[in-house]
Parts: sequence; structure tokens; C-alpha cells
Amino acid sequence: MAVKELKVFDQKTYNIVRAIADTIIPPGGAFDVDPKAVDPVLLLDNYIDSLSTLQLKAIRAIISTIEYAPMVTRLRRFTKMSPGQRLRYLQGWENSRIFSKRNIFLLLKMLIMMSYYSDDAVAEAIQYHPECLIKD
Amino acid sequence: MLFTYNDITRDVVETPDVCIIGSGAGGAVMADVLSSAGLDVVVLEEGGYYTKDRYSTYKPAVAMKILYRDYGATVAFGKNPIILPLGKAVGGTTVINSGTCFRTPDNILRDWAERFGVQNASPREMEPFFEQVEKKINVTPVSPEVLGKNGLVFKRGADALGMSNGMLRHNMINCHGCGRCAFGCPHDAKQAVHLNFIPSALEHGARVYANARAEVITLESGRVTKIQGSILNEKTGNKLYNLSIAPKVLVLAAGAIYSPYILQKNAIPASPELGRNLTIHPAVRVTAMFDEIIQGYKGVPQGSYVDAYASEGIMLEGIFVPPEIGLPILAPIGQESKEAARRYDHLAAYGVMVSDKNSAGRVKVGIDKRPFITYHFDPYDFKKLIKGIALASEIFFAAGATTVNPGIFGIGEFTGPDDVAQLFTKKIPITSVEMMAFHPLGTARMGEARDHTVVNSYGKVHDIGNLFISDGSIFPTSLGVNPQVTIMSFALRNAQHIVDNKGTLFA
Repeated sequence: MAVKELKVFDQKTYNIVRAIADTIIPPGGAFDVDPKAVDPVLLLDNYIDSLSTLQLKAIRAIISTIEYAPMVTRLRRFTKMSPGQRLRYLQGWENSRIFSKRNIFLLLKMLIMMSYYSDDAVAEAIQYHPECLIKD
Repeated sequence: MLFTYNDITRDVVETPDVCIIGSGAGGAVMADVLSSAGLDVVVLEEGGYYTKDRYSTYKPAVAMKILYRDYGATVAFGKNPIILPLGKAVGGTTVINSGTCFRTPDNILRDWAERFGVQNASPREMEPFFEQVEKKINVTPVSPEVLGKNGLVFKRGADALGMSNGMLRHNMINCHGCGRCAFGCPHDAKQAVHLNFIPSALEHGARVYANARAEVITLESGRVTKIQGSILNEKTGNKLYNLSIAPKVLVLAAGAIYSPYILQKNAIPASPELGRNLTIHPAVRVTAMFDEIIQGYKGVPQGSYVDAYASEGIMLEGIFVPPEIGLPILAPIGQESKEAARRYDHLAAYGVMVSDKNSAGRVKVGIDKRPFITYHFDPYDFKKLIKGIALASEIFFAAGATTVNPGIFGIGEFTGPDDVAQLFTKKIPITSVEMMAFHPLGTARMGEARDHTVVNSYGKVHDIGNLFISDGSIFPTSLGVNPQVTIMSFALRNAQHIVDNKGTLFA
């Protein structure tokens, strides 16, 4: 799917991040929202538009590393893996004993999940209704 | 008058008595006192001017992008990177802090006098300043009706264990318990300084420039003569106009990170201690699951405390964030993420903060010309943090939690109080604990002991005749408590000192 509203990512990067996002928050399960209605990667792209050039370079480097690092051990890129392989691969990052690897992934995971759970449709799906204790 | 980038149509040139860089707890109070004494005051604030009409519409993630520096993710690097959220708006961090108010502990004031030679700041001498500040920002205990269940369950646990606890005091009027203190209070119930000291300064003729970044400080013959900078487009960050201020006195109030940074960047010849001795009050979050519904996002997130171990430098204070901020840290990836989201209403959370007694950090100008922050977390302080995590875990179980997550990599959830013991039997590396910190202080210590201080007892930089610092950087040690009242009270005291010495300073 070509996304025209991108501010930071190019289409190729978008596709990689979308694959990462769909692995971090897969369809189905405890609740579901229409994946066409909620695009956390587009939200993320728009969200990070005011980061510094250096910070954006770092984020792009993390994305490229996740995409290409499996070629060393698994002889295929992340986006060419099956959904199950992708999940196990990213769990390797999330639970890595190497502190920096774990933290680098945490940064990307935070950005993707924050974008996803900020969406009104998702908030409704998890029945999150922020209210004040004392009403006006 | 308050000007934003929208109001400015040409280069700004000013020659005031006083220029204040930063409009947070330290800068706003200075502006009010100095302008009410008849001085001509200009305030420069890099962030924008936001009111409840604007920030009440922001979702938390958007508020973090707009009201915070670096999206709320300024990092102190070290063995374990520590997130250090800083505000960037007219009102500074008071716009996005929890609103918690503590006076400076007496033992801290005495320590500053003994070890650093801080003069005329004994508990008795500071009392009138605390009183004035607390009156102005309306400090009052959090009412039980807005505490919310997150605070109530923890109190229940602390009471069951007989641990000293209570309701925190906040700067608020008519709080609705919306759980949004950290994202801009939607009712302006939290009395951030853009609601009191800044309007008061404006009434006295001060001019506040929002979206105004100070960049170059010129020093001639040991005195600051000029500040140059830019008026920025709030949306793009692009420079719109030049800024040139030639004041008789400069007050830096940009916080413990940016005040030393701007002086270092401009090679201002201050003490070699400038930028060193950073304390940050390291913190962790302990979470627990309950069978009952908690909905911790309803109510004052930081409404209560447990101070049973405060004498050891361990404070437990309430903390809670909405799901879009909490889940990215707490939830694992995959379908379990969604399970965690569905259970968020049953989650409770509490913060553990420890005084940095032996730990310290440093602010320098980084290779990208931005502040580069490092922090060494000492094993002694880390032990206190682990003890605090154990205390919070025990309190949660006493309150009826089914599981407790200590927030330590490699140590799973606790399913009962007996599990807590492993915090003391297992080797826990510093890198396994996810930490944050909220109270940067100490990078321009005050005192008369010139070999290890940067400013004198009233915030004047040693050997520079007309340069003052008025923010958390001047405090020689960690306070062990939230610092906004201390910052405001010392700003009030130091501003009064400037007024008392008007004849010399503004000759």
C-alpha cells in the first residue's frame, strides 16, 4: 500500500516499520480494530517529524538494522520472514541479555505502541475512557 | 506584555534592566519580584505559550511532543541510560510536573550551610519565603475525593504494614482529579507559574517573549553585555527573527541542564565545577495487578506518599500514566500486548525515588552542540533503590495485589510477598532496572566555599558582576523531595537580594 501522507519515512522504510508494527501488535487476539482504520506507522511518521536530523538518522539506523541483521544468521531479511519467525526474532531483541540491544528495541517499540494506543479506535477497543473524578 | 512568534514581525532589540532566560519555577518568580520593584524586565522562553484551551485538547503523546524537550525523552547516559523529562513552555516544567510541593528539608539546609558555606538560608530564615510561595501557588493537601484508587490501594497497603504515609501537598485550586498533571492540567487547577507569577510580572510591566531562544552571551570586562538569539516558528522550529538584548543584569533560569550548557557553550569563565555534580533523584516504577478495578488514570497520579524510609533517602510517591504511555514500557510484544491492554484497568503503579548521595552526573556540550548528560549511578544508591522496590512490592501485596512487577529485567513478576526476598539474594546489575528521573539539580552549586561552588549564596556567579542563576542548578545536593517549592523560594529570596542591592547592580 502506497502511503502519500508520509513526512519522514520513505515507502520502503514505511513497509519495514509496518511489518515490525504488525509483529509487535498483531491482528486478532484480545481485541481487534480495523487495520485499515488504524495505521500506527503513519501516526509515528507524523509524530517524529520534529526530531533532529541526528535523532532521525538513529531511528532509521535501528530500522535498517532490524531489517538486515537477520541476513547474517537466517539468510533473509526481516520483511521476508513468516509472521512466527518475525515474532521470535523481535522477542530476541526484546529479551536480549545485551543491554544496549534491548534498549534500542525498546525505543522503537515505545514509539510504535504509543502511536497505536493513542488512536481513538484502539482506546475504545480497550475501553479506555479517561474521565475526571469530579465532573464539571 | 507576552509575545509569541505570532505577535512578532521584526527583529527584537531590548535594553532592559534585567534579562531572564527561562520562565519556569526560578525565572517566573524572579520576573515577578524584580518587575514589582520597578525594574524593567525581559523574559526569554524557548518554548511556546500554552493555555488550558490548547493543552486540554492534546492527547498525552502529543503533549509530550509539544510541552516537553526531546519528546519527554531527554537522556542521561551512563551504565544505564536514564530518561529525564524536562518542560519547554512558558511556565517551564511547572506546566508538566506532578504539582507535588515539599519545603526544603531542614537537614538539607543545615548541610548546605556547613559544607558549602551557604549563608542566610537556615530553616528559620527560609520560612517566610516558603510561606510566601505556598500562598501564591496555593499549596494544599490532595483531597481524598480526587486521589483516585491507585493512591488509595497503596495507602491501604502501607496502613496494613504500619508504614508512615500521607497525602502529598500540591499547588492546586479546585482539582478535578483528571489524571493529566503531566500533560498540562485541563482545568488549570494546578497552579503552574504561568498562572500566577508570570501574570503578576506582566502586570508589573515585564515583557515575556515565548518562542525566543537565547544563543550567544557576550561578556566584556567581567560583565555580561549582550544576549543574542532567535525568535522561532513554533510549528517548524525555523528562525524567524533575530533577538538582541543588552541588560544590566542577566539571570539564567533555564534549569540544571540548560543553564550550565548555555554558559559552557559560550565559554563563560565560570568555576570548573560548572556542569558537574548533577543530581537527578533517580526513580523506578513498581506495578501490580489487582482483581479489583483500579483505573489509575482517574485521579491525581501523584497524590500520596510513603515516607517510612525517608531518613534513608527513600521516598515512595504515587505515579500513573495513561495506557498509551504505560503500555509501551510494560507490555510485551505480540498478542500478550493486547492482553496487557485489556487488563490495564486492573493495574496499579507507584514510584520509588532515592536521593543521590554518592551518585553524580555532568552536563557538557555534546558533539552535536546539544547538551550531553552523563550520570554515574553509585552502587550504594542502587542498593537503596532495590530496597525501595522491595518496600513498594510488599505494600502492594499487603493491599491485596495478585502479582507485582518490580520492573527489573531478568526478575519476573512476584506472585506473593515471599518472592520479594530474591531482590536481596540475586545479583541485580544496574543495567537491568529501567529508570527515570525528574529532578535535575546541582550543576552550578551555591555557597561561599569558592573552590567547589559556582555561584555565591544568592545565586551570583563568582567573579562575574552581573550574572545570576536562579533554578535547580544552584542547589548543592539532592533534596530527596520534589524541588519546585525550593526553587521558587530561593528565587524569591535571591530576587529580594538583587532588589536590596539595586544601587550597586544597576548603577
